[in-house]
Formats: sequence, C-alpha cells, structure tokens
Amino acid sequence: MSRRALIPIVTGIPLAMIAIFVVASRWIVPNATRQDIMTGVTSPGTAGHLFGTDQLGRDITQLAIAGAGSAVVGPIVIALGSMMIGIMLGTFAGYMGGWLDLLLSKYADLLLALPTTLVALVVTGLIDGGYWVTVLVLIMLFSPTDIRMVRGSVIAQSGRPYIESAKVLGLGRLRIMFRHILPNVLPVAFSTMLLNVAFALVSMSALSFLGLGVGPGVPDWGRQLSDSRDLLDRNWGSLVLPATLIIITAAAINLLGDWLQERFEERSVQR
Amino acid sequence: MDTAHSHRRLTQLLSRGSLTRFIVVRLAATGLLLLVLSFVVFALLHLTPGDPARNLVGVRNVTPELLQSIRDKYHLNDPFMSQYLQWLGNVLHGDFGESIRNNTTVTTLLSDRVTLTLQLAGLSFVLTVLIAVPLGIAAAWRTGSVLDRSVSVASIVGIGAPTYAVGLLLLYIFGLWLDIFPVYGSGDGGFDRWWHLVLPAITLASGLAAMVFKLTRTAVVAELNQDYVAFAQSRGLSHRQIRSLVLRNAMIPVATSLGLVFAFLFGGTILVEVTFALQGIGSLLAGSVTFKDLPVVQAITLLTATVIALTALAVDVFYYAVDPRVRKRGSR
Amino acid sequence: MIPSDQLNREHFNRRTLLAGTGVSALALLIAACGGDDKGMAGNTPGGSGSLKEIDLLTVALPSSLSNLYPGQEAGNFNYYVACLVGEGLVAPDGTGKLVPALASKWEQTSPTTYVYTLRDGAKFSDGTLLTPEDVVYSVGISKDEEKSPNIAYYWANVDKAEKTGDNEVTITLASPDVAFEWGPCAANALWITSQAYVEGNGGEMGTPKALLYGTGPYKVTKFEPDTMVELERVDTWWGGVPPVKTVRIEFITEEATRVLARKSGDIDLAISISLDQLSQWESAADTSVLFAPDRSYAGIDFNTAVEPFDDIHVRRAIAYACDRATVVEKLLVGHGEPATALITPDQISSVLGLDGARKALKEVLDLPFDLDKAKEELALSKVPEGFSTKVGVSSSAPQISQFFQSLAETVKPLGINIEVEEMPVEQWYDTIGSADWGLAYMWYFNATGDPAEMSSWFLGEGNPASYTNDAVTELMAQAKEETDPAKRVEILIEAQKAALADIPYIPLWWGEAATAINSKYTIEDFGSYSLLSPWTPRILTVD
Repeated sequence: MSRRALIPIVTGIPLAMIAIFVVASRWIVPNATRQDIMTGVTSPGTAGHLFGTDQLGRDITQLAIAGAGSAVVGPIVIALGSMMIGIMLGTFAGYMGGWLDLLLSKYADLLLALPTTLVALVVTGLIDGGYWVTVLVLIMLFSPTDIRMVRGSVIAQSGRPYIESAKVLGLGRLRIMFRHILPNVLPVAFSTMLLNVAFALVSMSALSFLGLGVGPGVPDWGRQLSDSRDLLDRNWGSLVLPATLIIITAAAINLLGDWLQERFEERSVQR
Repeated sequence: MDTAHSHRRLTQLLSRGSLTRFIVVRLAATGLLLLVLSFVVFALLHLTPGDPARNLVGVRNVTPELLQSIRDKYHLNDPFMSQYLQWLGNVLHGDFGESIRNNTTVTTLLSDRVTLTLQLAGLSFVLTVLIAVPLGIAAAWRTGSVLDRSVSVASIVGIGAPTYAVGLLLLYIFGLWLDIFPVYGSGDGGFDRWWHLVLPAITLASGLAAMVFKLTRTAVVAELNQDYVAFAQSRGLSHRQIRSLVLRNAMIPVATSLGLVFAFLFGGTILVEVTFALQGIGSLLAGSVTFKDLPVVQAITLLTATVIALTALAVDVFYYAVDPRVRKRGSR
Repeated sequence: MIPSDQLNREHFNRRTLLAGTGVSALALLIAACGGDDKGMAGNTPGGSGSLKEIDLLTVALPSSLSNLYPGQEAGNFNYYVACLVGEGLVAPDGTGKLVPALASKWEQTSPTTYVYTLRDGAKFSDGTLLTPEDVVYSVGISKDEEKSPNIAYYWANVDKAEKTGDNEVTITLASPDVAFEWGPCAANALWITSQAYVEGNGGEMGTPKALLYGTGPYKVTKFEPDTMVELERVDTWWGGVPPVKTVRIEFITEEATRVLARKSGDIDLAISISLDQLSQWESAADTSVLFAPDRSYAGIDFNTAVEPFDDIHVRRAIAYACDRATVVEKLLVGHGEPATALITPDQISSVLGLDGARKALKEVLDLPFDLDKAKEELALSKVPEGFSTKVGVSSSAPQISQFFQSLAETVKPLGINIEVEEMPVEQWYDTIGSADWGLAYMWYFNATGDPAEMSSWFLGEGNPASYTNDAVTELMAQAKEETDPAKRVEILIEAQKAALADIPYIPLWWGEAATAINSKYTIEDFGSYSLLSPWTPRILTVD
C-alpha cells in the first residue's frame, strides 16, 4: 500500500516540473534559441552548458526546457482528441451493431489502412505543414485504434448479464450505452489514452525524425532528437537529454495512468 | 483444449452458413474499402505540389520540352479521372505499372522489399507475443510481485523509448561491443537474413511488447475481478478450470490488440528500416511519396491496407468463434 | 579467377605502355599521380602503398541507388559505380583534363564537328568486340529523353552521330558549344553499351534484370536495388586487369550505422562521409580519412523579379551579412572553402593551376562580412525598416539549414525576418527560380570539369535568378565557341564578374568531400576527379 501511495509523488515530481517548463519556459529560459556560432558544438559539462551546445552554439538544456511545451501539449491533445472520437464512434459501433457498426468499422479500417507517413506527408504538403496540422493528422491516425478498442470492449460488455437486465428494464439505448456500458469501458480507455500520450510523444518525434515535425530552430524534443543525429558524435548530450526527457515523461504518464486505473477498479469493486 | 473447442464451434458455425456469409460480406466490404482508399490516395497525391518529371531530373538545367516528354511517357498530363481509371484498369488486369523513379515494374520493385518487411514484422510479432503475453498473464496473476513490478517498470520505459535511440543503443551494445549481431544490411538470405533482422526486430518489438504486456495484464486483471471468478471459486471450481475460463475471456481484447499490433508492424517498420538501413516497403514508401512516384505509393498503400483489412477480418472471425456472447449476437 | 602472376604481368604491361606511348587514360592518370619515375607505387597525399591483389573491397555509399544507369538516375554516386563498368569515349584525368578512354584520339574538325577514333580491340566484358555501331547506338540512347531523362539535355544540341570509318565515329552539333567535349564521357553523359545487349533486354538498362553492361574493368554480377551492388573484375578491359577482384558496394543511408559498419570492420571504404560525424570516423580504429574538393557550389540565389529582392540594396545587405569564413570553419568543420564565384577552382585548375584558379576567382565577388555595411545598404533600399521572408531548405541539407538559421539570427537586428522552412528535397526543386521564393539557395555538384557547367545555367536564359544582362549574355555566347581553354576561362570569369556585381547570387562555399578508408589501403593521389574514372586501380595497399 505504502509503495503504491508513493506513485503520485514519484510521477508527480517530474510531471510537475515538466508542467512548469510548459507554462513558464518563456521566463525560465527567455533566450533558449540564442545562437553563438563562434562557440559551435561543445560537449556536456562545458562551463555554462550542462548538456553542451549544438552547431549554432545553442544550449541543449535551455532548448530542452523551452521544448517541453511543444513536446507535451501536442501529444495530450492527440490522445484526448483521438479517445473522444474513439469513445463516440466505438460505443455506437459496438453497441448498435448492424450497418452502423459496419460503416464505422470500415471508417476505422480505412484510417488504419492509411500509412502514417503518407498521410502526414501529404497533408502537411497540402496545408503547408505546421505543428497543429501534424497534431490533427495524428488524431485521425490514432483514432481507429481507439475506435476498435472501445468497440471491442463494448461488445464484450454488451453480452454481460447486467446489460441484459437493463434491456429487460426497458432503459433507452443511449442511456445503456453511456450510463452503463461506458463507465465499464472507461478504465481501459483511460489507460489506453495515457499510453497514447506516450505513443504520440514518440510518434511526433518520429515524424520530426523523418523531417515532418516542427521547423528548424523551434525548440522541441523530437526535433532535438532528430538533430542529434548530426551532433551525437561531438555532443552526446544532444541525444541523451531529449531521449531521457521523452522516456521519463512517457513513463511518468504511464505510471500515473496505471495508478489511477487501479483506483478506478478498486472503486468499482467496492461499489 | 481451447483450440479443439473453438475449432468445433467454428465448424458448427460454418455448417450453419452464418460465418461463411459473414466472411463473404466482409471480403466484399474490404474490396470496396480498397477501391475507396486507392481513389483517396490517388487524389491526395494528385493534389500535392510537385512534379515527378522534375524530381526525376533533379537539379539540372533542363528544357520544358524534356519535362514534357517525361510527363507524356507516364501520362501525367492526362485529366485526373482518366489517369485514375487507366491505373485502375491496369491493376484489375494485375498490372501495377512502372515506377517513375526506378524505371522498373512495381511488382519487381516490391517483391524483395515486401519479403523483408514481412520477415521483419513477423519476427517482431513473434518476439512481442512470446515475451509480452506470458509476462502479462504472469504479472496479472501475481499483481505486486517482483516480476510484476520489474516488468511493469521495464515496459513503461519501453513504451517511451524513441526507436532511433533504442536502435542505436542495441547497435552499440550487440553490434559493436559484444560483436554478436551484424550492424547493417539484410543478409544473404536464409538464416543469415534472420540473423541480420534480430536487432531491428528487437527494436521494433520493444515498444510494442511493452504495450501488449500492459494490455494483457490489464485484461487479465479485469477478468480476475469479474464476479464470476469469485462465484466459480465459491462453487469449488479447480484453479485450473478458473484459469482457463479467465484466460479465454481475457484473450478477446488481447487478440484484438495483437491483430492491430501486426497491422501496425507491417505498416510501421519505417523508422527501424531507416535506422538499420534496411530496404523494406517503409523506406520505399517514404521516398516514393516525396517523389510522387504514384504507382509505387498506390501499390504499397493497397498492399498495407489489404494486410490490415485481412488481419482485422481474422480478428473478427476469432471473436466470433471464441466468444459465445458475440456469437449469440451475431446469429440474432 | 585470374592467377596473381597474370595480374602482375598485366600491371607490368601497363607500366611499359605508360613509358611508351602514353595514350592510355590510366597511364596518364598514373603519370599524373606519381610521376614517371615512381611507377606504380606512389608517395602521395593519399598515403603511400603499392598495388596488390585485393580479393574483396567493400564500399559503402550514403545514399541508395535504385538504377545503375545514370541516364535514368543521376546521383553523384551513380557515376562512381557506373564508371567502373561503362566507359565513354573520353575520361577526365586527375586534374579534370579530358584524356582518351574508348576513343584513342579525337579532334574537332570544325566548330560543330568532332571526330573520334576508337581504340583498337576494345571489348565488352563478355569479350565481344566494340563496334562504331555500338557507339552510335549508345549516343542514341543518351539522347533519348525517355530512356535517359537525366542526360538527354546534354545531347539536345547534338545533331547526329554517325559511323564515318571502320574505327571512327563523327558527332555533329547543331550549333557550336565547346562544353560538348564533356558529353561523351562516363563522368557525364555517355556509357557505351551494345545494341544487341540492350535490345535483348527489351530496352531496359541498369536494372537487376538488365544489368549495366559495358567495356570497363568490371561487370555487375549482382544488383539489389537500394541494397547493394557487386562488381567482379574482367580481363577484357583495354587498361589491364584491376587489382581489386570483387567490389561490393553497400548502400547505408544512415550515417551512424555506416560509422558502426566501419568500426566493426564490415566496410573498407566509405565515400562522402558526413562532416558532422567526422570525429567518429577519424577516431574509428584502422581508419584514415581523405579529403578532396568535390566541385560543389553552395550559394544563395535571389529571384530578382520578386520583391524586395528586386532591389540591389537588399541583395547587397544580405551579402554583407553572410559570414562565409565562419560558416566554413564552424558548420563545415573547416572542410570546404568560402566561395567567391560560381565556378569552382577545380574546374579551371587544369588551365590556371589551383592557386591561380583561386586567385582569379577571388576577384569575382568577395564581399566581407560587415554588418554595418549591411545596415547602410538596407537603409538605402526601399525597405529600410526591414522585411519578412522565408526560405525553403531541403531536409537533406543540414548545413544549409544551419547557415540560414544563423543568417536569420544575424539579420534580425536589422529588421529582416527570415523563416527557414525544411522540406523534402523534391519540394525544394520547386523553389528554384520560383516566384514564391524570392530567397532561395542552390547546392550544385558539378558533374564535369567544364567550368561553364553551372554558370551556363546560372548566367544563361531561364536562370533561377530571373537575371538579365546583355553584356553577360554576349560573353556567355562567346564562351560557347571559344576553343582555346585559357581564353574561354578568361571570358567565363569576366562574365561572372559582370553578373555578380549585381548580386543575383551570393556564392557561399565550395565543398569538400571526405572519404574514409580502411587504413590498410589508401587511394593514390585522391582528388576531385578520383572517382570519375575507373578508380579501383588507384587503391593501394599500405606497406
């Protein structure tokens, strides 16, 4: 018990720090993108540069602090947006069945069948790129998994006796769907969503890696990770810091998600 | 016992014809899906800026006439619908056209790469399933045990770890320091090929195994908390019987996710292909999209879509066969 | 397999050939490398060593080839591979001067007529004798826009190629153009192949089904597009049997992976290594790194028809804000040189020598880095308060991206706001000369040693800067017909001076390519042209 009670603290500290970075980076590191080309690349531990600098002499640490916002906000929006779509469409598809299910499932299949790179490349090419376009594209690409996941869970739930009894009692479909089935799907949905935040974080950095993320010079962990390919050799900090930040953030979100999920389950058991 | 049981049930279903009808309907829907998809991709690619003819000649001072003659060769100047219908007609005759970039037929171009990607995805899938599912079940059975906690922590790191960083780390450790695995290339076929794919497959599997582990664990834990478990225990069912009951029910969401995992793997090998310099369909697709090499993009998209659609169908058939509740609903 | 004693005899033969007639391209190359008295073993900047039998040389290229025929796919690396298998009529020597290849001699009989005498007894890799018909047929392929979209433009001015004797082919131009000399060269636009072979393969070339086929020292034995190509030496080459038996060329597109491949000893030679990872390469065990100018030019191009870049003061302000020396020192880690002209020094070094070339080119445009002057110029312009603009940079050009980011920071205090947009290289093509992109850049790798290669585009009609200047047009027309190399270079430099005074372009740097090699081996007299003619005979084993 005591060990589990620690989880909010263990995950809370890094998450709170990152939240502070997101909100207040403009005051903490006002000159994060300032260049100093004469300094050029330095390795970690250079005076004044804990994790060294990049080719243009920008401080890796400051860039990372300033990059927390673009690294975290997008993934949260992606996970939220995609789960909202997933819950709406997945619940209807799973519970109503029939042609609606077929249609929604096909929609999910269509999206799922689109190769991520293609969609991202094409859409960013069409709408002139940009961070939020990538976020939108990823919401679309994340939603089919969520739709299918929710649909699967709803189908599993709808065969359960309590739903049968609800039907016998003559409760409305919407009521059954959203008042009775949904609460039982939510824990899985919530843990999936938190996983999705982590995945979206990695996906966005992957798109940066393929040249589809934020523009050059914009602080962003994914971008830093991708830039580190040319820097690694002279400054290992350029890879280690953003990679560690991504791992820590993803891990903390996951742990917190698990902990919350267990709390939900306990509550539902008690009830 | 489970397999035999579900097999018998499947046979019963087939005899009633409902599963056959289900599959036929689904296959027809898949065909329609592919048609729609091919049109969407064609249209999207048509709308994107860029000119394949220009991309073919690159940075060169060429005359407009030269560009024109390349466009003519690949019918790039025809109206959109006529281009699409021509492409569609050829595909229906089994001709996927010629790559603009490589000047060779798409079929030739794809054959080796598809094999490589399938092998890579297959190996990662096997690794993922072999590692994640048993660990997930074991962890769920003894929540809070050392095993549960340590694997949970590892999976949490695994989910967040960027592919590129994991790949590089593995390359350094197993390729360079320990010198066990080769650091690049796809081998000369046979065992050598698989040997070359081990590190990429582990890299690819690391994030997914973490996800599958979590899903398996969640599903089994959720199932263990169901009323019927306590009920069965109170009725004195053996541990073994309860376990098989729980596992069978828990495997439904797991099977869904595994189906999706394979689909994801097949379409998601690109980062690993780039990191390990493997030439599969992922890296080919990325290059072909920016090049606007339409025949190649279309072929890969449709191939990926087919694999995904068939996987989804397999998952649904599995649902149908395994879960009595769904079966009941389906025959209603 | 060729017994080693036979191999040595071949080498001996080549040596005698070298001392005797001196008509062999290889002989000339070797002569240029080591000097006659040194013979086969050279003591050169590339290191010292001797020619020894090498069973297998594994080479790694940083980009992948999907077709081996450069007419279809013409990246730099396609040329490096193709020149081992196919040959043109002429080939560049170590200084960029054209010397005989499959033609034993050639002469220009009129401003539009070139007569090539074919080498006696030249054979294809399967022993078939080369005929003038094959040459004529090959020119036809090069000229064909569908078969050779990448090089056809080079032959657009060629009226006809015909057999004019048992051993003679005559090529006639529509109008005089001295630059044509580089056309029938495997470093540029001609790989002589056989009609029977190509037609036997249904017209396909350079694919795994229809492997590249020519008269060079190697034949392709295996080609997996985008993965690897394997070459095996043949004993039919007129230049002798090369010392490297098998050349295995892998395409490793991820640089970190390529470094690891070298560190683990899987590859011997890595061509064009990334300067960003130079210290990794240099610190790798048993690895030496060789540098040579690669005749590449990087520079800004303005579209002078687009506001505000139609104002010379704006262009000059930006030119004063470019700190080329620092860019070369920091972003290129010192490997390259600040550019002062469109022509690279190595393209005129055969006329002026390298030092002479640098000196002459320095007079074209050499504005110092001076922010005060930049401010003054901007104040004189029609946008004295500054302006906002964007520049599209290929994601495969990190140094260019860094340069523009650095420039953006430098000019920000002046009120100029430059947004750097990264894009796939294919989208970048669309920015060249486009009215949407007033500020753009060019990173051009000159395939040939012809000094007019890039400048005839950049100073000719339809140039990306939308720049017109009658004096320049006149000079470029003169350069086309001037057959005396020295005079031609003089005219070209004059044309650049006249044009660049208006700053439609700002030359930034001339590039240098670094090549990493297993320190067991070295490349004799490694230079700008080393990989553009059969290069394996220059791989020496360090004693």
